[in-house]
Amino acid sequence: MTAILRIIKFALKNFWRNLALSIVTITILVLVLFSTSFLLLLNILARTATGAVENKIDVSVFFEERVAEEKVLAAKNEWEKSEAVKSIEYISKDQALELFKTKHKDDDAIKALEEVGRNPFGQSLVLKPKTPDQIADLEKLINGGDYKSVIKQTSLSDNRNDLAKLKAVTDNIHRIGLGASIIFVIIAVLVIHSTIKMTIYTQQQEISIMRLVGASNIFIQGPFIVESILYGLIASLIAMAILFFPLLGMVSPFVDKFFEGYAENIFQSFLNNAWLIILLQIFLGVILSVASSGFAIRKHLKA
Amino acid sequence: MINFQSVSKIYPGNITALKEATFNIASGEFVSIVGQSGSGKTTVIRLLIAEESPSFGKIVIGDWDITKIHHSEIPMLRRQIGVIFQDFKLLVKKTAYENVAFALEVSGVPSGRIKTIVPQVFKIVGLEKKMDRFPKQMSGGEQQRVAIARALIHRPKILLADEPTGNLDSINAHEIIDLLLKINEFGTTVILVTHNREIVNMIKKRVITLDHGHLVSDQATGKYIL
Repeated sequence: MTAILRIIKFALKNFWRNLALSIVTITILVLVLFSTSFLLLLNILARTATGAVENKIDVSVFFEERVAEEKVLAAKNEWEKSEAVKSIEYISKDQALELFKTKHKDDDAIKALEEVGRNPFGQSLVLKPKTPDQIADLEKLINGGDYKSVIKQTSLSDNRNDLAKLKAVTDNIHRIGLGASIIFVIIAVLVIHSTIKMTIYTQQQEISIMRLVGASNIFIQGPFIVESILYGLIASLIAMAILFFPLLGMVSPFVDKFFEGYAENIFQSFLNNAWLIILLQIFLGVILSVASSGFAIRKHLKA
Repeated sequence: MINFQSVSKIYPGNITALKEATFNIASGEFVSIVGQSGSGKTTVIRLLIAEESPSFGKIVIGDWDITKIHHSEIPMLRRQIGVIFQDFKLLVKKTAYENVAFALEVSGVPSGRIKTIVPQVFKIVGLEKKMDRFPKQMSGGEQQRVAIARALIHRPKILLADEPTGNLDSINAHEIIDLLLKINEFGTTVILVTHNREIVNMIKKRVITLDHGHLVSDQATGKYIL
């Protein structure tokens, strides 16, 4: 315990003595952590959004009013065997009526329905494809089978263009973010390596005396490792604070507008994934920092 | 205690610093190793604290063959051998007390024990009233005493003194030698490396003479002969 406390004390002293270098190192690490965390967050958001858009691609098949329920269910059973079908939802006449009432509760259409005096809706099936590209297969399946004569109409809800645009934009953001992260990682490794090297250099006399008086390697190398852990921890806290308040506050409205209707609010996404992001930041910050300094320590502080 | 068996040290470029040196130093001895610059005196010190390993031969301290010492064992060896240098090697931003305590701190000694041991060692070197001074506030002789206090802090069996009087005037030099003799009387083996003729002749103890890496003389009660 005494040894650990002393190593921490020496590390804090190193940190303070080379404050300017420590600040530069932390700043670079913050950039790395910030860019990777933002990238992760955007990925989560993009995945949610594309999932939501994909889910909106379907074909609704409306049957003639007189068709028996058994026949519609038979169609459902047959179509469900198709490779292209992910799911089929059956909507009965009563469910269709309820859906209509809910949708038009505030407008005049409900009065027209009352004048009709009966349920004018037919049964319907809503088919979802396994992948967005299989929508054409679904159309072929519906129009090419035995049920064509009892189908009143089909309605295609095709968001593939939206999906393609969304994917193109998120792919680009992903690519740019990844590129920036890699560049920052390389810069961080070089800066941390140089910082620890400089710290070792400025304390050559102290280190040589430590060796002379029989200090074990853990006392000689330990403070530099603790110092690099400190860099990682402080940088992850700062990156988290920047992500949490100023940046999300500023960027959130723009990003939300882009993903409007498809994904949850970016701030909410961040909150939902906060632990994952914190752990990722601390892990990345500390690992990056310790690995870079470890390289310098191995090279310049050989026993 | 210390046994050099045909020890040679050859540096890159075929520079021979020590050539087949063989000698024994018994426990509690006071030995002066003398010779001119480049004679191999400092190499002996570096070999003894495992800062260098011999190119040939064997060095045994007690029962410990340090020729092939593992680097993880080096700190343990250095706690058993105190070393002082001509340039004192004190940390200027630390007080005399902190300089000595530092040696214990980096060896993992508990703080309570440090507070007990450090003043005792300062008493031995006669600086108990100047523990809170910084090196710059002390004379050369006093700084060397602080270095001796630090070297003694682990209660070593061997004390190596590499030109300890090189930076001191003759009064301070004599005081330091007296202190080394006093430490030797307490049972510590002292190896003094010097080229100060007057000091060697005054001590009247064993003298090993090196010349260009060769051991040319080993006298039980010797004089500076070069």
